Amino acid sequence: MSFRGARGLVVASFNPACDTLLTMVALRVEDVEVYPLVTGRAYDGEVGERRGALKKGNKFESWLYANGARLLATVVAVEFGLRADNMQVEDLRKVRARRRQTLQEARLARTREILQRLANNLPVPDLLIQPAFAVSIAPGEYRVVYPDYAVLSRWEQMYVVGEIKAFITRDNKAPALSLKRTRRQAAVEVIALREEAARFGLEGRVDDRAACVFGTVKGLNPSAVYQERLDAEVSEVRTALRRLERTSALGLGTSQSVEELFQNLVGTRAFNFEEQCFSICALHTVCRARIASQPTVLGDEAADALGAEVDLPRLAELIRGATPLTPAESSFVSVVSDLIGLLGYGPETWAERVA
Amino acid sequence: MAFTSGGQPSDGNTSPWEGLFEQVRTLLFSDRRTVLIDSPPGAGKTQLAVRLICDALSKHGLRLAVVTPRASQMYDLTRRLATALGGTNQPIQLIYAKGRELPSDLRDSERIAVRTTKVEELLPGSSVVVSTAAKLLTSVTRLAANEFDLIICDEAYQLMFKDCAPLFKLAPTFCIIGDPGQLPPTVRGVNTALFQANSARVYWSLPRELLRRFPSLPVLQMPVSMRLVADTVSLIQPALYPMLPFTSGTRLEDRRIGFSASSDGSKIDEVLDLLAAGASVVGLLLPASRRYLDEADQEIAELGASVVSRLVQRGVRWEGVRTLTPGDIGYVDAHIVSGAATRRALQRLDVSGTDVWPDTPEVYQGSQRPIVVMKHPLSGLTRLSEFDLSPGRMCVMLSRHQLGCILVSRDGVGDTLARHRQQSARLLATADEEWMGWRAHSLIWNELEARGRLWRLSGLSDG
Amino acid sequence: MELANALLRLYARSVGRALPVRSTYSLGPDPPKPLLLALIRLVGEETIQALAWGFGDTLLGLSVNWNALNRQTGHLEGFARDLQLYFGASLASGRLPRIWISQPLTLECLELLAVRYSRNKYTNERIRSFARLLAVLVHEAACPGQQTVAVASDLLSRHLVTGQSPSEESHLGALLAWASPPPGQDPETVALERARRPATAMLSRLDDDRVEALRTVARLNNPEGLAARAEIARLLESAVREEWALLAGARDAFWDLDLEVSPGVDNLAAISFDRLMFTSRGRWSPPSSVHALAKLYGEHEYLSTLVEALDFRYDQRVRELARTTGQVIRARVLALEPPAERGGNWRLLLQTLQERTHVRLGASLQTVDWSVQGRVVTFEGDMRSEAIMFQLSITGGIRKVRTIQVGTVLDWTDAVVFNNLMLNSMIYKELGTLRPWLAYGKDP
Repeated sequence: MSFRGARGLVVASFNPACDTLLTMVALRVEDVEVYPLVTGRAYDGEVGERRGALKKGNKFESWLYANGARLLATVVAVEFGLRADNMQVEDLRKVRARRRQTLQEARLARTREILQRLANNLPVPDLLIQPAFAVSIAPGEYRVVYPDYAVLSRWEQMYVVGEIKAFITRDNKAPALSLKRTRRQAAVEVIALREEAARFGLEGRVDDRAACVFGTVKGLNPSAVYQERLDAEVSEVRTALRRLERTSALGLGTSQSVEELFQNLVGTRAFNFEEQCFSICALHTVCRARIASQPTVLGDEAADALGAEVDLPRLAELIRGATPLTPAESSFVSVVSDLIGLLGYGPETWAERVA
Repeated sequence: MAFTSGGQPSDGNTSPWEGLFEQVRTLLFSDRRTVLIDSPPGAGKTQLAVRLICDALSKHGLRLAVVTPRASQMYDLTRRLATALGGTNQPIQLIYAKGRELPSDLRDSERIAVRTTKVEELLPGSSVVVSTAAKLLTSVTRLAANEFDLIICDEAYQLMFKDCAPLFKLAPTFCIIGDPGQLPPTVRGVNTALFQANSARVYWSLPRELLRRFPSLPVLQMPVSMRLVADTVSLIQPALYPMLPFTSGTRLEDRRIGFSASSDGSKIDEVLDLLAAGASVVGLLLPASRRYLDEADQEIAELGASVVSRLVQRGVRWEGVRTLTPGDIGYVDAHIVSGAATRRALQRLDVSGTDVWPDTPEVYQGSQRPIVVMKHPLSGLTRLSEFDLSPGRMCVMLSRHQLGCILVSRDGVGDTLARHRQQSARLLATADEEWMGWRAHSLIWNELEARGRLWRLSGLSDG
Repeated sequence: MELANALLRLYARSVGRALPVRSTYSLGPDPPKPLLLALIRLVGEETIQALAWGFGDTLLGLSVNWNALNRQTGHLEGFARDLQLYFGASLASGRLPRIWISQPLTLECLELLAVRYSRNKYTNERIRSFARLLAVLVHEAACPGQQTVAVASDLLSRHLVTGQSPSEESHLGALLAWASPPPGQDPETVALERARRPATAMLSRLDDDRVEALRTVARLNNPEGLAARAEIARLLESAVREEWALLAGARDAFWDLDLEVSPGVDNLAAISFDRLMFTSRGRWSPPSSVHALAKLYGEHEYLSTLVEALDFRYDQRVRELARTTGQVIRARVLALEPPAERGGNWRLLLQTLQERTHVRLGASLQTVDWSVQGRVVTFEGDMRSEAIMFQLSITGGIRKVRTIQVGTVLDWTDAVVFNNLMLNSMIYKELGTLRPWLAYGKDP
């Protein structure tokens, strides 16, 4: 996943305790750009979404957006008690920038106009295609997010953000990691929508949920809309935003070169390595190598059970027969020897066997 | 070991759910509609079932069945029916699994017309048949469609939908009563992700699945807990029953704790005195760090045992009722290993392990004790799993006591909750149990902290 | 179990190789000709771009589809034919078929193929019946204790613990680095190196991008197009051969563990065989209605407790680890009482010194050898010995109970649940016939 833009917030929410990761997000640099800075060689692992998946995603979205988002409107209408043929659809991708205005600013301005109308009880479109919401990450600094769509819930008189994902779902089953990322992405959008709504006093109407449309086994046929509650995800993204604000406030990257900065961060262990790092950050091999003597290399649960601070090489020495020097070490030897005896790893004692 | 059964309404002539009773009667006996009744802990739901049965038999001459998840619940219900129908000639029929030995009082009771393991031996006509859901399920093919006019499912949140669906043929109307805050039915070794079909969530509890599929089914809510005091209700209702508003039906003067012996000045005694002063939930905390590789947490076990021991030594009383015995004290621990450590610690302190038996919420579910000591399910943890955060488990632990609950724990639970990162690896369109548990735990811990109920010890000797 | 697992990982790391956490195989021996299937999927579409199959170590067929987006099924025909022949012949001769795949993702891909083509009128009958057979296989693979589909990564993970994290272990290549470390090399280094490439039935990133870039050109019917198709085919063939080698290596590593085969697998194989005879006949389709799902749940519940009970009975390591969590209780017989009255039950008074136990009032327990079954009617702590005493009302194995001597030590575990599959089937068949409103109706 990209560390830049709004997706960076999703990445940050997966490991907000990692200063290195937050710094990359705050500085809008990709992990694969930092990798050579700290290792001296180019990153040769997997990066980003595969071309095929990307292509399919784009094709799927285009299919749903075609003919004034007719198909999307049909799918969404069922869930929100609307009539597809009566739905007012506005495609914000078609907004044109005025003079001295970027396209992003133009879309933000139009989205805000719509929210303003909503606040004034004036008619608004039922379905917005790719509206723009800004989410602040530090004073004066913000990222703009573009949900795939937003649908007006008549019940709350507020838009519900919508995500379109081409990955295949069946009977409530979806690829776990893709689903997790989608929920986080939607959570960022919910927070951004709430911030925008707050400009017009409408934040109380924004609910922590999203309406998601997924792919199915039947070619480009979309699934029904799943309204997903996002309480947990919104909470996680909020935590990341708070930490990000602190990271940004530190002014990291202003006094040093980016290279020095990340070498220092990794060198001083200003990172938080966990098992999930394998799937979110290219620096995982670097961080893993730095904590090779800690139980975290055996997994999060092992670190929890053994205590994250214990010294793995010392425990290995004890297993190989070193004399325990502390009550904790004696306790360790006793527990391990009991377990090894219980499982009967060979006729000799475990220490002898290893020696 | 004596487990007393769940809450009963006060001895007064009117129950706090009289209005609700009338509504249920109308829906069941006039409209012939299936009804769900949500109940907070100790609201007298079994008593409500008993009254409905009496009404169905005496006023409507119905033939009905009542099913429970466990045999112990079936025995308890039968006893209550025998008492309630004592002066009538309405037959009670008990059907139970082959190989099961009935308790002697039920074996000998003259009020039970039929005790059998075979449905073919049941008497026809107006009567009540009491059974576990499992027994009725295994007999269902030998019973006629609409064999009964009405089936009442007690403790229905502990029943799986798949075990009840075949019973739907047996009656046109169902009355489904349960406590939505309790633990869901036990899943034994099955990968439930395979059963997430849209057509049915067969492993969900009966009421939950029925409501998913029939959102317009009438749901009535019992409004008052007759077990829990107002102080406890104000703690657990917002956290664990956000969709079920209820109040306490007890009077403070009826639920006072006293001690025969005065305090020895220890922190444990100070906390016990807090109970006597009217706080119904209090906590004793040891410092966050614990001994290396000590899964059971021996110090917490010793602290919990010391609390029980002091309660006994000080002659704890239910003021105006009686002096409590060790059998009146429950000890709930979500983990078998630490429960066992506490049992040994109790034995070392000469408290009979038979009377105060540390056990899991799964076992304590459905029972009540005047006083409960519990080990906080998040004590000593640095990473929280969905199991640890289960709201049902916490709900059972915090809702068994009639007078007071003392929780023992490592300090730092609040920090662990604040640090917790939601994994929420739920399937699509599925409630986020981890989040719900985290929210409930956070609310309860913060509230206890705000009310000054958490007392910190510098070490075990400080107690 | 978390602490035990962490310590075992640490121990495996210290000794530099994976450790078996079972003393028996949970999978029966391969038939003389097990079928191996390796495939390469198209990420996103989850269609199959290339597949290689064969019997034992002999590669029998390999086919690729340069355009996996076009929904053509020609590249599946060869495998479809061989799979159906293999299944048909195995079942006809009363032998359980065995198909090896490398990881669960392969199974997901096969499941989608089954859904796409089981009733697809745009394909031929051979592919439709192949897809139905795949649905049978996927259904079978989910059944606890099944003996037909061998998923190499799952099997190795259930039999071994490595010196790396569970996330790293999910990479089959990395897992194999610990299961059969290359001589003279550090397994951790090898595992990390292998983990740099995906082992999830897909092309490497570089090759994937290349194939995507070639796809447009490959559609042209000119020499450039032909060259592009050939290059795609070469890349896919090379990848699927690697996947095949990985699978064959994983299978070898599994059998090289050199454990005893659990005697319990005969029972499970018979159940697997009967189930396959039923599901592979006619037009069976995966359960989706209320009664079918409920029935299946009952079967899975029974099977999972059966598998657990068989493990406790025959696998010493599994049993010992279960004692550390209290799932198995070692208890000494203190007394044996005949029934107090006619028709009553025998009672057995037992004492355990085990720290953790799952003893519960009302629980149904059985000896790990399944000879005696009873329900807990009393339990209490012994003040002096810190032991737990519990009394069982004997509900099964009366003859055996009569021969038990006071002082005998027995291992007990939870009884296998509701093992009457016939009754389970009758109950839910009736439910499906009667279709009561509360189970099948819709909210008005």
